[in-house]
Amino acid sequence: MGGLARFRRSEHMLLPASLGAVGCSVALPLVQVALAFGYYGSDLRTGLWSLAATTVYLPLHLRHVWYAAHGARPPFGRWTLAAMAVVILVATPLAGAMWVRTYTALIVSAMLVLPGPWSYVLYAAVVVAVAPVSHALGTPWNTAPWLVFSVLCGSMALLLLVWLPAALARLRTAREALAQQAVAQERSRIDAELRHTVGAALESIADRGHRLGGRLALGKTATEPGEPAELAEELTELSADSRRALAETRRSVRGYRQPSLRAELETTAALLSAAGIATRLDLPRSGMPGTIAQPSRTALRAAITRLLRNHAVRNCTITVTSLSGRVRLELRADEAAEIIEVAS
Amino acid sequence: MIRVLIAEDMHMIRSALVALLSLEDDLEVVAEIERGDEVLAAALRTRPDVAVLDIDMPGLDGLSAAGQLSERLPGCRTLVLTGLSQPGNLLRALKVHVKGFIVKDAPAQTLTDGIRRIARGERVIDPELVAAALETGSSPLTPRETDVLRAASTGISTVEIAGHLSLSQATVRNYLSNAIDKVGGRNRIDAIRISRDAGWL
Repeated sequence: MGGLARFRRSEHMLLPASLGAVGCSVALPLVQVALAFGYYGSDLRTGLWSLAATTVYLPLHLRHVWYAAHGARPPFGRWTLAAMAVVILVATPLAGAMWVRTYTALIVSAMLVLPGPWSYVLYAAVVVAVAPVSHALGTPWNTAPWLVFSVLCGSMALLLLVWLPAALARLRTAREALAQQAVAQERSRIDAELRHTVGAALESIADRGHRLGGRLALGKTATEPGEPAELAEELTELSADSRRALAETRRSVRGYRQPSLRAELETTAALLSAAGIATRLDLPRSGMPGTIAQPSRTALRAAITRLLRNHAVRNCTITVTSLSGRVRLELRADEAAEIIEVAS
Repeated sequence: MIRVLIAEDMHMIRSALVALLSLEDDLEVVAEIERGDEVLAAALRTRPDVAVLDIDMPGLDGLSAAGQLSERLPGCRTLVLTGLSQPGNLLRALKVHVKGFIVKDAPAQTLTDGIRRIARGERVIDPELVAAALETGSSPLTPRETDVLRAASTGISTVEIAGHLSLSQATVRNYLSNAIDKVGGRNRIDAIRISRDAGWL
């Protein structure tokens, strides 16, 4: 249950993580626009160009990020990436020397939209181009390494932020697929089991009922001596058949839940204690099997039922010993002891 | 002659039970009750040997009524009729000294035999119920978490639960949160449903 709860909590993180990735993708370009207005060598004109270009490319970039954060590629992603690249490249000579930092968004989008080798090639090409382009725009050579570093770090941080929700989304999809597969397998197993056990019993009941109905209908006009007694016997057998079918159904349903041996013994101790039998559990630190085979389980439950029914029992010790892979269960009630060999 | 009290809220079933037990020479139905909160008064008045109680009754459930009988009239042994849908009830039943716990759809013979054996001082427990209880497992909740969840199941607010149980509101919220986590519920309502179905409340 703990694991499930933790998984549910991680599922709840999907939306905040996606929003976080989108938020950071918005924050960096806004800083970029602010720099275009106020950074050394920038002016109102470069700021306005930067603002206009960001207004055009940012929605496209956010679309890529949002889809990727949900573990999907955006529809028409290559076209929107191309449009984004055109806007960013066209704005490069107009939006100031610091505009090259916007290439961060471009390569992040490229990594999110394009398949394997192409995205890496484009990523490397853009990173390599940052220094010469920025120099061509008037940035001194000694600033170039800082710009390249900034683009590299910024893109990696953003990719990491997108990767987390994408991984969560893929995990959820995989879990859903696995659950559907498990449900389908379980359904076919239950179907087969019910057909062979309960189905056969119900067919017999229906057949007997039908024959009895026919005989009763005939009995309205002619009743042979001894007929009512025979019919009563048939009805009793029909009732017994129905009970067997009911028991079979319960046995089938019970088989779907297989508690661990430890959990079963702890519940046993709780039940016996509640019944006024002082119970001690003596379990090994290791070597306890997770679940046990049905015959051992049935023997254990029968022994517990006998103990619960026996109002004279006052003390009970349940000891599990594990030696060379063989597990033995001893139920000692007062002076009597019962041994169950546990097959896992 | 074994004197029997029958407590069952459904009139048809109660009448059928009375008719069934009246066919037995050694059983005498001395009281028929339709509400759980009337069981104790009727038992004190009629002094039955065995009380056959339905687990779900208006006013007071069968196990709580059995608890009252065990305290006030220890000589009266109780047999509870239950379904398999709430297997955890077996543990609660044993704690309130219920001597018999059988499923409602058991054959009539099982009920009459059960009453006789309980009257002799034996314990009668349906193996189906033992198996179901073992599969469900014991309650993962601590007694305090159970108290808080039980109080929440009555529909009262956190403030009222805190008042009833002399706890702070933050502690109540903590207990509820732990209980929801432990039973694997999505929320408070879900946790109450799961715990109730398992018979842990």
